[in-house]
Amino acid sequence: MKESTRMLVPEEEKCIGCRACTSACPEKLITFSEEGNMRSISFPANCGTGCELCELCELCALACPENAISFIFPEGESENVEKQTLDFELVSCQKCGTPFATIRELEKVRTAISEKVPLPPKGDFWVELCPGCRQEVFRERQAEALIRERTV
Amino acid sequence: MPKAVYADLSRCIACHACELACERENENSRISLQVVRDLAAVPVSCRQCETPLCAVVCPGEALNYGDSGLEYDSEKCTGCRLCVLACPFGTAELRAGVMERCDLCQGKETPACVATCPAGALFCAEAESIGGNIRARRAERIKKALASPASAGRRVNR
Repeated sequence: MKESTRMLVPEEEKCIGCRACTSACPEKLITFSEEGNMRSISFPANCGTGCELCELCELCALACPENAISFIFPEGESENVEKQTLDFELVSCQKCGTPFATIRELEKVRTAISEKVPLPPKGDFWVELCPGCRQEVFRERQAEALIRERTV
Repeated sequence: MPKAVYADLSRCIACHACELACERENENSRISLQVVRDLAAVPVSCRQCETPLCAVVCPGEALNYGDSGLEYDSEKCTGCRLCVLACPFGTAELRAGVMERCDLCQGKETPACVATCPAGALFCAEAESIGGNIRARRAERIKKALASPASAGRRVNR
């Protein structure tokens, strides 16, 4: 009888779509794509390249900030051999409109920082800007006084 | 407050030498300069926050805030990008799968950008000392300007 192959199981409820696993996988078996305001991450059903190292590797699970990836050894016939794709809605930058992070990623960031600093009211909050625009806003604020001085 | 690289914007001439110096030192530039509305050049790098939000969200303990300030261990970075999303200034960047930020050129007395800036616009200081720092530097310049000029090589005074 054939030994059962280890299967990779991503938990949809936990995954925030950060893509840490995609860069952690040495074989690049976990992939992601972005289209419009959606990000998709595709997980293989197993890492079955046949090599022993692949059967031991857990780098994706270790990289996952949400512990959303686990491995199971299905008993008997493994019914699900299809790859699994998770879809995430992206938030668009309030300034430039580029989709830059998943709703869940930003929720996690917002919750974590709210424990450290008081959150400003919605609508005027840097979390809603993409990193590039945050830098731009900061730059403009820094230069404000000097620009005024140089315009007059 | 921890030390950080600050700029006296009135002196910055937008020459991008800071970026090149950082690139020489760290392979990629961690400071970026842009001109705002054609009127003011503003270099921006990690603000070395007192409450670093990048460290707050880091799940892998790659970013740690201790007594000696913010410490970063790229070996522990998993590339989850949460720090990038938490940085209020957009200065944490992901390069080759791991996060990169200004560490004030650890091991060097002066950060490369500060040492290089030909306009004397950049300086590395604690936030509290900045007002005094800028005034002291300005006074120094005025003193220099008022002092009798040093002999300038072979130029003959008319």
